[in-house]
Amino acid sequence: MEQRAWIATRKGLFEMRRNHGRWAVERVHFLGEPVSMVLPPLASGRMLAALNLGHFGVKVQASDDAGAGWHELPAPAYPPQPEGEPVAGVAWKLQQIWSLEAARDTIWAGTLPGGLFRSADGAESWQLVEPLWMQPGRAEWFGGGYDVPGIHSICPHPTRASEVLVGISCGGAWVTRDNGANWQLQADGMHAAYMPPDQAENPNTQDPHRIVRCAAQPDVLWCQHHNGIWRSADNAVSWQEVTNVPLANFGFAVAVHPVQADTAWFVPGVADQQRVPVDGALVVNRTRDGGRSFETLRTGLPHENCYDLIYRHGLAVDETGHRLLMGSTTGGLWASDDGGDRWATVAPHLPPIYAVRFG
Amino acid sequence: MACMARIVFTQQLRRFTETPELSAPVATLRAALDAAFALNPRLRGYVLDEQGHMRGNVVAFIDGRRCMDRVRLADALAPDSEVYVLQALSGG
Repeated sequence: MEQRAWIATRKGLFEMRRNHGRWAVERVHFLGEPVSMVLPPLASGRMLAALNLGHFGVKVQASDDAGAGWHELPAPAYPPQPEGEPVAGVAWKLQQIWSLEAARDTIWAGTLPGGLFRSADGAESWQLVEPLWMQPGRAEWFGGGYDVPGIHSICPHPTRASEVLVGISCGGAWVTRDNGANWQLQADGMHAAYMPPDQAENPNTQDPHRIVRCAAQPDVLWCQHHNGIWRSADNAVSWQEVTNVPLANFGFAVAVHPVQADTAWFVPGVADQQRVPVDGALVVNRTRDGGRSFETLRTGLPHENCYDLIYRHGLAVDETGHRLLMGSTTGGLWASDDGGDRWATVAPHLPPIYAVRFG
Repeated sequence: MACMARIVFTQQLRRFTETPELSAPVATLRAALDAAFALNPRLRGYVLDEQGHMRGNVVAFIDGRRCMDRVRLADALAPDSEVYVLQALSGG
């Protein structure tokens, strides 16, 4: 069966096709430009690419024919910054679109420096979700990987139209149940090894590197955190740490099976002070029992002298739960057709990969 | 034309949007930029951020002197000034 995927990289957007069991680059869009995130074609046919031009700012490009043609749309823009705005060091200026998700008629954009934007007209216009941005608690957020905070994960609830969870580095996990009017901090149970001891349990300064939700069992969420792996089975009311992770519990990416909520994939790195694969060998940790046990999968992946890091959006699973794609910050791209048991190199020398998505 | 400031944008911008080369009777850098943005409104977002400040990796030179006021863009122009809006060098 033919299948398509999109690889957003530092130097362009790579359109991939899977034909006769092999993935290959079909087309390259925006060659040379940093593409920080991509939203694959929606039911309407519209797709989005977020460009982060080094000199000239963040741009949104849209296509209505799966990338055959593109046109620029207005980028999300922060409102005028008030005099004396209290959050020190955070200018009300869009630095990067870090996440894009669509649910029903809404497109959500998570950004650095921490604002969530929404569009109800297919990205023709954007509105800042002000109740989250104006939360007093935002003053506690800080950058994780960047100088300013950012929203990297957006998890709309598949059956409750007004409910969305966002993950923030570093600002915990926040949930709205009334379409963005009110927000609750829901990171209870996480702890931060990088904070002073009396602040380690503060849910508002947690660094969830990535949060994903099981489509078929939406109460189940998985989180690869800065210092461990957490799982919630009650829709983020509480989070439980998964403690028996092989090799290392540091990493950025997580993918969850679309149907089997107990199945999730992680890519370990040594630790936050050494962000490389353990022993120079790239592996994937998979659990199929909700985190009680893991298998370390390495067939087909580099066994030695490998220093590829899989960043937050560099691991994706398709709607069947069988096919995975994994792209690294040094430009390696691998695919699996059997849930991670075996991997094949798709392209060893792409630009640094920011995001991989099926669709 | 006499007594008109001349404004030139880096050719690098032409990959993304039109860059008018114009002469205008303007007294400040901001007025010069606004005159260009009037001809191509999309250009504004490439040169300035949403707060109206010059983007961090864009520079303007007025008669060979680098503009230092990146917030108000109030640098004065002479009637025959030449303004170059360029990209700063960065990255790899």
